[in-house]
Amino acid sequence: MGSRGMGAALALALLWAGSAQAGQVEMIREDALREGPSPTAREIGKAPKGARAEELAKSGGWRQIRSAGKTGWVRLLSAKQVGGSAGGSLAGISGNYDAKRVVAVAGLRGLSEEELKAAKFDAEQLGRLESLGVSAAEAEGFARAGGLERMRAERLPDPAKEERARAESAARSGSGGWGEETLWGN
Amino acid sequence: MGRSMRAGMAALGLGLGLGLASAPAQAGDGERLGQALGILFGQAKPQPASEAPTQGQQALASPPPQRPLTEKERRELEESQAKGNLANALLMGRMTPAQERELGRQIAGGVLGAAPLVPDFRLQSYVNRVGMWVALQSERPEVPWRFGVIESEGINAFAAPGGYILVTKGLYRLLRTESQLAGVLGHEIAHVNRRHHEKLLRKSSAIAGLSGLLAARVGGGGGGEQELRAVIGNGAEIMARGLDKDSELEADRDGSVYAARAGYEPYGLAAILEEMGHFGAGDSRMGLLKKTHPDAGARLESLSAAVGDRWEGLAGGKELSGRLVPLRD
Repeated sequence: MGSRGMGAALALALLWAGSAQAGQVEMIREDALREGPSPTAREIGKAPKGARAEELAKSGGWRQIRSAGKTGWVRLLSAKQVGGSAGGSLAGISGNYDAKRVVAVAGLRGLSEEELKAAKFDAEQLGRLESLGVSAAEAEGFARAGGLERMRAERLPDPAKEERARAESAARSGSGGWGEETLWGN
Repeated sequence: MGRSMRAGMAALGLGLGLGLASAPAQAGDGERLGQALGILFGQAKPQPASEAPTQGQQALASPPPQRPLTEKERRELEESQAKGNLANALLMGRMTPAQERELGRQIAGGVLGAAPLVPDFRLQSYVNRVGMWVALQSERPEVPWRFGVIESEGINAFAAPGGYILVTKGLYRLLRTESQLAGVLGHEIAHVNRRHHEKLLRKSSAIAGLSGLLAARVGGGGGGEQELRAVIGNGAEIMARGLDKDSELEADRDGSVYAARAGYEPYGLAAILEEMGHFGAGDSRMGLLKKTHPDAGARLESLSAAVGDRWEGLAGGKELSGRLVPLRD
């Protein structure tokens, strides 16, 4: 890290002064706080949705956090970094913080709506893009070289749809009783 | 059977024509609209010269029959046929793979006109290998997938029908690992596989496109090109419209799963979403993405709810941070 890291750390400290403290996470769903990064590790408490905690480490699909004096592990996707977390995840853990990535730099901006609307078809560039295609065999060789192996993973359900289905079945199971009237009748 | 079917179709055509003439504002169904347009425009049916003298010049477009077509002419003819029926097929939700590809060419070629490819062959061919490997784990491995990094500091990525995927340099700069690239490309691959842009175009055309199509027809008297322009404009501008929230959340779920199936750790896309949450509200590099996508925090929450404990059995996925090809600047 050396002086570059120090400089970056200082810049970050200045940049996020007054916002959330570096390395902070917020629980985006309730999860058990466990002793280790595993679903079978002993449960030592609950981290409710909305709770803030300090992030100490990440390992696989898990984050180690400290909250209300307790240190433990929650699922990676149960929390998200907030505010100045870049100090923790970019400078602190990866150690190769690049100011151009997160700090707003004057003059850098993206493709705008106007530019897209004014765009002219570029056949030469499209030809170049076409020429970049690789075969399935080439991609498979590339995957093998990196030690990548196919894994089984099912499509994920739409949580909003599941939520609606749950609500509907709850409403159905209450039909005939006054529960439904309370919900719908007026 | 053949006769009764023809009679049935004629009756259907009449019904559609009447419905369209009396109540154009009710044309809320893309498929019906597409059928109606086909009938109105009479595509693929050459009109008698006496009825359409202004179209005489177009008849010259068909090659003289005495000479066999050269390879180039045959390709051009195929392309023009694909283009000619493209608007109609798109609105009916019945595009052939060639038509889907032609639609994608129009959109990707336009985006490249606004932001060309980064002139770095090593980078581009790396992105194509990762992308192709991820796409091979998806529902449509046979699509001729093409991936590119484009010259824009904006943080964004674009998918066009037919398998064209473009990632900005600004987004690529956020990546730390190959697994994150795989997640980002997976998200875009999902947009292509679920035909999200086609659905958007059908919906917006059903609301607003019909009058535009008719106007184009009356004003120019041209073939498929003008109808296509009425639906997709210059192509690139489709990318400024944005998809609906559900399509984005679906692409987050599918894209992460594709990356997991490809052997990567499955949290790459989530890490980039988390990273996006760090940008200041006024950072212009996020302008277009923020306008066209749900908030990064909402996307993370939705992905988190979908995943729950489902990925606990997924051990051994790789990050491959060492293999990520860095940008030259």
